[in-house]
Amino acid sequence: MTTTTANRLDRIDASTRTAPPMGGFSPAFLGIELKRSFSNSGLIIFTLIFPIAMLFTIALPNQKYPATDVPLDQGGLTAGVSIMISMAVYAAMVSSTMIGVSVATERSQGWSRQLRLTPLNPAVYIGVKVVTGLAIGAVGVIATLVVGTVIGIQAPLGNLIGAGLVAWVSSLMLTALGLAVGYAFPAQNAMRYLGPILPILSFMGGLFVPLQLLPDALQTAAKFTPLWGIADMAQKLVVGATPDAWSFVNFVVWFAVFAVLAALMFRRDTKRV
Amino acid sequence: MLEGMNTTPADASAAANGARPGPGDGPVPAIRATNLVKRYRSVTAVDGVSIDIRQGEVVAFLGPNGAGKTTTIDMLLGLSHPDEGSVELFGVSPRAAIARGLVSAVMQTGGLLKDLTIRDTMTLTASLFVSTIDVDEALRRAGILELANRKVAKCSGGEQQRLRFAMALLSDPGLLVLDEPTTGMDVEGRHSFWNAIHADAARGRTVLFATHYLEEADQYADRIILIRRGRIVADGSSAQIKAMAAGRTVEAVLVDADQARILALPGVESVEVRGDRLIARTTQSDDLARYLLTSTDASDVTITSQNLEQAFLQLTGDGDDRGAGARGDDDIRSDDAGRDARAARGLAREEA
Repeated sequence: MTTTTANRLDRIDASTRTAPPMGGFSPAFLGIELKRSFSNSGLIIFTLIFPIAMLFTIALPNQKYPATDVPLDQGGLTAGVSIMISMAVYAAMVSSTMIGVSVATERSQGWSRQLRLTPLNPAVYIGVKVVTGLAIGAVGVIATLVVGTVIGIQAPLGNLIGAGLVAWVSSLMLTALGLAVGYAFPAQNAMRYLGPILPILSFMGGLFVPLQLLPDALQTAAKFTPLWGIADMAQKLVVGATPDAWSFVNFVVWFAVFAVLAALMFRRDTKRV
Repeated sequence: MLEGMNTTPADASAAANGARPGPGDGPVPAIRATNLVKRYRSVTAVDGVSIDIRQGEVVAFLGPNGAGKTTTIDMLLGLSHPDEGSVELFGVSPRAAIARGLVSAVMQTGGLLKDLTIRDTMTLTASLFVSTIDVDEALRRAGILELANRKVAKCSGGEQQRLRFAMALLSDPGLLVLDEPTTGMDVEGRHSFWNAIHADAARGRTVLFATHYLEEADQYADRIILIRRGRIVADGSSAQIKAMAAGRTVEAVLVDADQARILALPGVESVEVRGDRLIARTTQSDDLARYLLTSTDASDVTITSQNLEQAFLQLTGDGDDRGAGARGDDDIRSDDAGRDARAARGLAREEA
């Protein structure tokens, strides 16, 4: 950013000025996006307060039950550990969905249109949203795991890192879902549609209740829902077990579906603006 | 494409003759829009609009609501694609011109994030350009430096508009496009907003502003482009447009009026007969009244002055087209209504 000298403005030759590199990406833009996210109270409730409250109210009381076949007195991990990682996944996914869907509000406020009057490439705008989603997802995951560890919900560090990374990467998938919905519907509808969908998907993915407790038919159906793959990988890794072979496939397929949907909705929107 | 529309303005330096300016030909036009057409389903919102604006001109884009101003501006800025026609800003595409910081726009509403402060909005916007003026300097010029730490949500409509203006100043653009910039401001707010724009235009910045306030166009523009129902109906200096509006309406009761004869009188712009009433627009009302009273059986002659507002309404209104034409001087480009009026005059002259 340099300051131009006071030249005449009625002798302009377009070749004397240049467009920015990297489609107008700037650290200041990313910084302000991050600042906005971290001062959004709704986002902070889902990223930090809700999962940590669940640690105290649900995970701690389940510390007396084992998460695996290994009994607790033989060094087995507690059911609280499974609940903790489920909450970390939930924190990352809700916050990144909210980041993605925020494009709906920004469209309705005319901000996307305003940005079209700057050098910013719309793809860079999306990139900044994805990075912001990853950042806030990381905060949710790390905070949940650290607080859980501090209050005694403990697992080997390697397990936590592996499962935590899975939970974190899930925010990419949910940012894509949020973007798709955010570009497809007006602001007031976007979150209304997503509001009930996220808990249902979380339930079907086994983030709220262990899937083994559900009827067989529901358990089978659950394997085809978007959050099952992530939940299975995170919950298995955190207790040192091997994830179901299909859980990675589930993740990749749904990630691709949401990313393609987001790209299609984005293209439809930029044509219209 | 309308014939009358691309006639070269009297000002010979205008690069409006269709030739691309070469190196010695002066700077490339700030705006060159050719035959823009935009349709929404069955409605043609913009119907063959061509605009050439030289660098340094301050141009008002004047028309009633729904005339196609915003649709045209969206196409000029590359926010929407014309169904037909093309746009070049400073010789490059709108997108390229914007990416280089050559063009900024102040839109009518929206375009601000309510949860950001004024300063954050400015810092963010500035960070997207290769080169900008100082954020505080832009805020000072827009008159909102002291509000820098206020959240956008807490700003009044006028303050938000000043913020949009400050944002538009950041890249030090050669062309500033304003879409109804003072809508919703009170008289004082309008005045100080325009003073800020004018103070800023001293270095030769090209300004195109859309407005439906006639006084605004008259006071602040060097040139006025009138648009109605997606077509340009007049294009000339404020003085020329004012001259069009300077006429008076002469009415009289006159059976079997010789319309062609009356049209041929000096200064008469249009003649209309409604039943036994004759209604004529003229810039020389005394001559017409004298003629009517001495050479015809006219009675009950009245002369009413035509103000700017009426001329504007006549040029841009949806009512009947007769009398909506420009005068004989070709400096003012006019549409089919004007052409009809001229044709009628030509006919009348032949008879005379």
